[in-house]
Amino acid sequence: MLLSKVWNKQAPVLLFVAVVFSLSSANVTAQDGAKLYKTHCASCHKIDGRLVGPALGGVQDRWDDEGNLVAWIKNSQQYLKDNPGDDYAHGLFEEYNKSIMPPMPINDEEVSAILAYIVNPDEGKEDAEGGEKMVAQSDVEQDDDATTYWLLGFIILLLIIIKVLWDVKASVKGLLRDVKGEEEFAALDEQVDDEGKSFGRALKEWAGANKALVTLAGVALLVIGLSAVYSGIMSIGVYEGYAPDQPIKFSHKIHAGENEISCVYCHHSAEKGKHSNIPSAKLCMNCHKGIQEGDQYGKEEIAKIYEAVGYNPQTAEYDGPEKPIKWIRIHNLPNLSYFNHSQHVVAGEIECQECHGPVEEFGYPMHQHSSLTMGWCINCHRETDVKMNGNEYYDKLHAQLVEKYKEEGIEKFTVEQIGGLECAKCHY
Amino acid sequence: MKSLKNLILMSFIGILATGCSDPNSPGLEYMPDMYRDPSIGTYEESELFPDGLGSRLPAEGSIPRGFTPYPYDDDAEGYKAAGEELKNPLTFNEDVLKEGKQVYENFCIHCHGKKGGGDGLVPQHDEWPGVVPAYDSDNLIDLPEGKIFHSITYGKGLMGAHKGQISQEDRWKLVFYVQSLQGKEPGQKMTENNEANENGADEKLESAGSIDQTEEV
Repeated sequence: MLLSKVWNKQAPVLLFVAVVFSLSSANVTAQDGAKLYKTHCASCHKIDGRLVGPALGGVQDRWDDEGNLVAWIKNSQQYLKDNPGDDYAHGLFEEYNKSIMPPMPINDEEVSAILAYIVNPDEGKEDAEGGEKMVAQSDVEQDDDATTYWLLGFIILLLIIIKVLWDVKASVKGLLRDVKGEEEFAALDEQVDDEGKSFGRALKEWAGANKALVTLAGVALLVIGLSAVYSGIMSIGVYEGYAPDQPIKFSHKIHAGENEISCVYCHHSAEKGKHSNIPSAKLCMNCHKGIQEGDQYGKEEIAKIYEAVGYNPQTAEYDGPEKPIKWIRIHNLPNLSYFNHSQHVVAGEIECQECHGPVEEFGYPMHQHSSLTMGWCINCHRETDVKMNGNEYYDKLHAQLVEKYKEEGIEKFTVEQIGGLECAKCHY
Repeated sequence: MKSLKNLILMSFIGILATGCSDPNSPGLEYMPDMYRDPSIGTYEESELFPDGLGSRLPAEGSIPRGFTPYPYDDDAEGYKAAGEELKNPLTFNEDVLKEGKQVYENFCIHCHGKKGGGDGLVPQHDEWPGVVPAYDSDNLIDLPEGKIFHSITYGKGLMGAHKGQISQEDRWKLVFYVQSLQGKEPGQKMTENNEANENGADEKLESAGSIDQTEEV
């Protein structure tokens, strides 16, 4: 109680200080405010909607006393202790699940710079980077438009040429009819048609004269046809290169390539179990709660994640129904074979890329890099030396094998040599 | 002129033979009955359940073998209590730290950066709303290990929950590595703790050692 009295006495002074600062702070520009805002506030607040904490737009209108607001911003827990009677502040704390806003290491001047920025967020932005960005964007749009216009112009030109040629043909015909008279023209017209029909006969005659060439062409056609049939048969049940459309235009290149997110961040069960998991949409939210707009497709594709988890980016709440994303499975071994990811990734110490290819370079849509046929598996088991050195999993086995093959002096062993070609390893 | 026509015909046939594959179709299957048995495959849809999901969650309240449920709630009180009560059950050594580093590189580095300075590649995008605080910043440098563990488990601020991806044991290894990035020496601190409560810590270590299952998000 005593504290709060002291506080109340000090409040007008603080308010005065704040007002003086906000008036006299010629050196605090909106740009500073923007920078401070990004450093201290933007991790949890947005101006126009909830994020972790409430929207900051119009925050000054919601607080009766600006001095209290400044104190609240600087150390909210202290403020709650000092002002047990402030129902609004306590209500706010309850509303946001009692999550604590940490004390902010900023002075009054900086707080007013941030508040000034919140009132007018565009001012700083345009100066800093917005202007440049907008110019760049409109350039791109113009380029796109120019291509369309060129194409359109080209098509119109083609149409004009076709029309002109058509007219020329018609007028030549008309001229011919005028010169030759109606009957003779009809005879001529028929003759032209006859010549057209005799093309087949002419081809036969030509083929008779060029037997060697025709035979060669025939053989070539046969070879092409047979090889097409052969590759058709061999591709039965082989999904290599399979790249179906997916419900979300997810690019591995952006995530694993440009942002260097580890494969197992999303496919975390590859190290733990038989399957490498497809990440749930909630996992996407670990980053996309913050990143709400992409470079390639804007908000469209990321909005699909929000729909899947029932997230409302305006209120920052999971209030909608969940709708699972129907990803199309690409890598799919037949059920008659057993494959275990953790066995290969953890015990075998094989990199994801050895089977899946340079996925960090694959854009949308994702495709199957390897054939995943039995021959492909067997080849790898025959040729690959098991990484036994410093691999705890194989310590005992390696010692046994070295002992067994002492006479041959072999110290490296392929998967085949440790039983990797046994039928029942994969088929049971 | 006519050889040209033949050439066109040939290439046309060639295109017909090779170019008729639809990217949305995986192609023919030799024996679909053997390829796909009637059991529900991973993530497959199933008409058996009203929501159409083949993957089911365990019954509510079930606990995997060897798994210790996390006793603190995802709120301010849980955070505080975890900070005060929760201690790392693992014994510190260089191997554990190395494993913690591996976990860090898989799950943290793209936001928190190589040295925990908050300078990972993801938050450097313009679209990222804020900044990721450095581990050695004033707000975080004195964070007790229980709070670090709690934040990895449930997330904090813009950071999401990671209990579904990182097992409890790995999270504790991670705590060691995060502390080492803060410039602290987790090993020394831990020996003190172990001396104080040797038996209890060892028991906990055993139960943590057998944790394989991760909680579902």
